[in-house]
Amino acid sequence: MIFKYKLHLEGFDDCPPLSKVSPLEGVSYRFVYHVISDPKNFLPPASKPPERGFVQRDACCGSHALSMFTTKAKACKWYKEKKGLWRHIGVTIGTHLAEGPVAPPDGVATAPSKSGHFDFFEFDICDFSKKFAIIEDVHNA
Amino acid sequence: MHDLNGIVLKYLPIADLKWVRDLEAYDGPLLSLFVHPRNNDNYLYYWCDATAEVNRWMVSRVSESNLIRLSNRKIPLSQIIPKGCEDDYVYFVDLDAKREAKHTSLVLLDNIPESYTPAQGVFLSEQVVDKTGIYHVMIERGFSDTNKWRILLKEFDYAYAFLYNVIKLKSQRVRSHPWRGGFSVMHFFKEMLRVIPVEDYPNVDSMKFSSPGYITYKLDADIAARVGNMVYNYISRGEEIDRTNTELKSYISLHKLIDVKSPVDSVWAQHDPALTVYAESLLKAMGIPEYKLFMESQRPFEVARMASSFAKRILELSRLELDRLISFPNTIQPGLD
Repeated sequence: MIFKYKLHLEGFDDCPPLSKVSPLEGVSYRFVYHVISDPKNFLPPASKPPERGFVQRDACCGSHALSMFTTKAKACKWYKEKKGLWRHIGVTIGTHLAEGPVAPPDGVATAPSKSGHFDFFEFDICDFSKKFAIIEDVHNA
Repeated sequence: MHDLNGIVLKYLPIADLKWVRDLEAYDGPLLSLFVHPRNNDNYLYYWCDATAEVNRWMVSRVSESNLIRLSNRKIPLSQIIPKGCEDDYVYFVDLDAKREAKHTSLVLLDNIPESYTPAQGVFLSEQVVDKTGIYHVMIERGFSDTNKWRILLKEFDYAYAFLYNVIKLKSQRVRSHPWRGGFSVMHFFKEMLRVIPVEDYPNVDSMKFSSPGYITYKLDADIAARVGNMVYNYISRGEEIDRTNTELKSYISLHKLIDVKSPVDSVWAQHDPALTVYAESLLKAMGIPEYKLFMESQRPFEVARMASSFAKRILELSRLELDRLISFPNTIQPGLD
């Protein structure tokens, strides 16, 4: 399998870090904008304008991965906490929660953190916009 | 994005700010710390808003004390941004994808749009706690009693030294001592300090005596964080720890074990099992999962006495925290990432 953003990933040593990623089978969650076909919905940070950062983000392996969550409850909890800190956070990461199946042919995932967040490195054939569906408006929840 | 009610500037009038670290990030930074290279002033870049072309950041100067308390989750972000910053104004900069400023303005605190400020009472995530060999003990209110300062500095060093020996050195440098008669407990802890490698020795790097103020240590920050967490553990489970410790001390006293001079006296056979149980219970209650190697390092009597003495150090530190004189970072808050 060939990774999406292969050329960028090849610029790093061990990216994605093979000892820290594994295939994933199950349902995952991601913040998206209110229309699932929005082209920004499944772009990793390094490819999504305007890039938000002070150091060269594409110098970071993880900036070519999609942020996802393991459960709806954890994603909603995380969003609620962050919305308290950044009232416009929906502008930069999305306003809705989408749910979709993730399978080994889609790519590889890092281990989730306690908040349920993990990074997902897509293979080139992966197109989550066709597999994910919006399930909740988290910004106005 | 909001139109800002402020003075438009040609450029940000603070030159050469150096990025230090991101305090919060998700797909890129949301709150970042910068430092001025000459005067060491701290500046926070707080993300506020975005368009398709730019991200808008609020730039404010913050005190070291507030920064320490913020990143250690002692105060919510709203206590600093914007009204707790050091000036009567903040800067807003709109940065494009190349990090070039497309618009810069100076805005008085009262004119900042409310939606560009954090909600009241929301703290940063747990993971922003500094783990780079620096540990802060916050001074919550000024105390002039020099004896309390002495207690703080001494007990923190001793507690840190004990944990360092048990966790990092795996109890291999814990030496046998009589723990009876005129044995000095302080001698034991000083010896524990002596075996710590110089790079991890608990050095006070800086202090600010004010309310609020701080003491900055350079040491092994993970071990120091364990001391702070144990103080919180003691505050919440103090009754259980005190009860176990009291029972242990009563047992030793009742059976006059301090008077048993010989470590090979036959009397130990009947007391070792009970002492082992007491010591293990105490160490577990204190929150030391690495207790097994420690327990194997000495006879049950010595282990029990050491554990009891360590509990005393944590008790002393807890009293200072409960009196709101100082505050330890708490990195074990449940339910946060």
